[in-house]
Amino acid sequence: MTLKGSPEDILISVRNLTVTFRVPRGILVAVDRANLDIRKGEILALVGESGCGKTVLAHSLLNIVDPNGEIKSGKILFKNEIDVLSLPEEELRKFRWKKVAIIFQAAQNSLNPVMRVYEHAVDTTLAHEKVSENEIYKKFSEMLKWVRLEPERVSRLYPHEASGGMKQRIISALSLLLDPELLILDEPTSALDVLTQAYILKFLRNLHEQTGMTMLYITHDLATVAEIADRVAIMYLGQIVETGGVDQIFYDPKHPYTEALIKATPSLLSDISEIKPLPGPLPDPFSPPPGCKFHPRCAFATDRCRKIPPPLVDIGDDRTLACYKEVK
Amino acid sequence: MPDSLIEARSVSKYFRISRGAIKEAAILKAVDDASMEIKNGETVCLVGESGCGKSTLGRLLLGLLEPTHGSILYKGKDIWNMNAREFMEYRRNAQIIHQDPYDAINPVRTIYSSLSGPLLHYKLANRSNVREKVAELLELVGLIPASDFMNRFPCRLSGGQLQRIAIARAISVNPSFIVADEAVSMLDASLRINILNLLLDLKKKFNLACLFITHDLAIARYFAKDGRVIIMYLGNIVESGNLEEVIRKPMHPYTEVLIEASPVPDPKVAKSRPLPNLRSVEIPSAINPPPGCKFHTRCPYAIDKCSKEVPELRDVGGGRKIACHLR
Amino acid sequence: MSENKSESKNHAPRKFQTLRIIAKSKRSTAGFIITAFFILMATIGVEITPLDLSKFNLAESYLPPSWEHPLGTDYFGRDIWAMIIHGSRDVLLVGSLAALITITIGVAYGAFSGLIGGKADMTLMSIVDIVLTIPNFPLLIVLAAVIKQATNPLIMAAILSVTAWAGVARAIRSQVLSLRQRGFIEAATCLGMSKRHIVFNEIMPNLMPYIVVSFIMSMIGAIYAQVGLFTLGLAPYSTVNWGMMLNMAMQHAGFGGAVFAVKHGNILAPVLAITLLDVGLIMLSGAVEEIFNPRLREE
Repeated sequence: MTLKGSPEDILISVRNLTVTFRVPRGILVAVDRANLDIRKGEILALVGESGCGKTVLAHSLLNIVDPNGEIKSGKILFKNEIDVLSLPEEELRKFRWKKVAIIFQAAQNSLNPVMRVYEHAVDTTLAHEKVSENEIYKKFSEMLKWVRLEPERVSRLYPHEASGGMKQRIISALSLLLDPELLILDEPTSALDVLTQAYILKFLRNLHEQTGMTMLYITHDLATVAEIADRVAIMYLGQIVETGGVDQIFYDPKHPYTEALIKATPSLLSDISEIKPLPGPLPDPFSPPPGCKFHPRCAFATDRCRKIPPPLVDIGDDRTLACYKEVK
Repeated sequence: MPDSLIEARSVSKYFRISRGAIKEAAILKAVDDASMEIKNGETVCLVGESGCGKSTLGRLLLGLLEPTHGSILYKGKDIWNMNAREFMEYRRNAQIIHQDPYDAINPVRTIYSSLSGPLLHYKLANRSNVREKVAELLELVGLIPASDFMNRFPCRLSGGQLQRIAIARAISVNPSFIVADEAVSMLDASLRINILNLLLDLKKKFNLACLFITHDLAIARYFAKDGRVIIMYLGNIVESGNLEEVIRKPMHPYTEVLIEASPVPDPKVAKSRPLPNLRSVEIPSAINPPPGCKFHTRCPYAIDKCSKEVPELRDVGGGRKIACHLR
Repeated sequence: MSENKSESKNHAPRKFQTLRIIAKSKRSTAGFIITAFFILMATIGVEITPLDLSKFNLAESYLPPSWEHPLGTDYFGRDIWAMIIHGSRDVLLVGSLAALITITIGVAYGAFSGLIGGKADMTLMSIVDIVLTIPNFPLLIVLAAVIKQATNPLIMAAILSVTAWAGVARAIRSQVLSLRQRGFIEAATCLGMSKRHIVFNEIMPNLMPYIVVSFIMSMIGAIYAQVGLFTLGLAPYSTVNWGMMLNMAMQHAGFGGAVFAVKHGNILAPVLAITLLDVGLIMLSGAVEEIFNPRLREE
């Protein structure tokens, strides 16, 4: 796959990444030769259904994989200099949180219940930098104000004294403490109410506009993608099947799966009769279909689709696609 | 109302929250003086954020909770004043579909066992044909071949499959009224339409009245098409009316805000919309709600009267009701 | 997991599934073998092994292990191996009876308390708290001394459960409280299922892992308590018992000397027997969870 734009533009490049898991039923291929570029200063949305491997891919960027998982092959380059997968222990620790920070799914549960909020900030910062507590508090207060929380009141709280929405914003503030170059957010708004969600999305967008921070936003909900993303990558059964600008993906989707996802997302504005469910049958993750993994559910499948998996190629206009329909 | 099926009349549900041995217990007004009704075969969406009391109201309508004040009526009769036989008949007619499919089905019983119990209990099947009937039910909700699912345990099935089984169980006793409590919120966005379509099919087939509880207006719109919507905030009903109309022309400030905040899968629209104009991001505590209109602390249009007097839910014509001093 | 794929396998519990689950891990297989060994010992072993307790032949006192006497003899010349075999019956019988009484009272009490809720629940649990503060062993000593019929295994078992049920009650009550909140219980209510059905067909099956593990743990506790009482010479005895063997060994050999002389077989044998039985039970209990909880079974 050719790189788009100059190499300085790319913050993270993932090439041929394969991650497998050993489970009682057998070997599960969670990520299958995936290729992805995250460009500096963009918000990239990684979209797919449960089980498509998006969380595993995100964790691999920090070389965090479950104990029974294995990164079998592939290369992850940070700024074309650092080979993340072969970083030694101490370097990897410094890389995590300082260069790349992650807000896990259901992050509200990752706050230590016996530590006050500001203690989390102090703990986290001191693990990476030698700064005085005063400076930490100053920086943290700024971050808290960013997420529309009052520093004096909130810093003193224990996690259980804060609501779900507040906790999510506190975690966001904590993740920004060390000015990471890439912020990964895994379903950051899934447990939140509509209003809190709207605020978090707007805040993330503002933060991005003000600081140019690069973000990887992982979700299964297309509606929130439209609110926040610059570019979108669609993932299916461990592979990236399409990437493009957010306008291109929503108004001119090329991959049949992308089209089906969009058609299955109801909205307050569009015509309801256009909504169609995703075609079945759901694949068995342990024995994925040969050739193009989507072919059993695709109305346009040909013989070639059933035998040879389509490669992810550049189709011009700054888009990539893995499908024989558009690419001959 | 002659064909009113389920009705809530000035219903309130308060919970006592103990705050230790010395402090006085706090009162949580989960539902506060709510009145609404559902007719035969009607679809009503109950929309609001978490903590607004929608789940509690749903359970009051199902007779799973007893109201602190007010009454719940089934076909005109107060359910808490019924004799045992009438209450059983009401019970059979009012079923629930839960939010979490993994929680809704007994993990140590097989699917066959969970589905055959109610059929045998209501004598809708006997020992000789119950297996057949369970198979029919499974196929009715799209789980084909039924033999694949009969003797399995819930842990072996996916969320979508389990939700179908929960739906099968609910309709197995021939109810006239179903409460779907965030029935698709825990499923992947792409699976939701499949389950909603199944519910819509069954609703039409059996002429079911349905209370669809959700926090997602877009899903409500897909499901309820010609139905009504009721918007709740901190235990009060603040607006109700025809769903399409309420979305097109919201009248209560909170409804406006909900619509503005709902994400839209259309990048140009989404990125150009401003944030809803709220005075505060935090939802006030339900234990100590603001006086007067509970929304006044966040409402951009609030006037002095709003912090003193509780607005009544009044009819403003065209089937619309709102509880606001300003509209 | 495909919605429509036909894998026409019958998913009903297969034959001997319980044994299959036990056989899966070395731990539980070992536990099963050990426990089975002791049960056989207590049932068949006793019948086929002759033992003469009234024997008094000091010439055969403290003989070292030999073909005739695999574990040697005691002060009176009696065969230790035969005494171990005969002692196992009393230990297992009283142990399992005590466990049965403990969990019957504990489960019924705890489940009732959890289901009834409210002030009654608070009161019942206060009683449990009081019982839990009673020092267990001293009370056992007093009861064993005072109650003349303590030689009867059933009475002995009842004495051993006098405080043990409280812990079980508390644990079961917590489980019941959390199960009551589950969606499937609410659904069962909506479906009009009777209270009897909800308790016995919906809640109880979910409690089985806890009940069986509690049984095994109670049994272990009862065995230790009983053997302890006998070792200290505080319980009236009529038949041979491992604790009694320890007691006699200490009396006749003196504690210090016994360990290092040939006489040490007298102490080691019962101690090893007790320890082995308890370890076997614990190892077996690991498989119990999987037997009763389909979620843990891997197909």
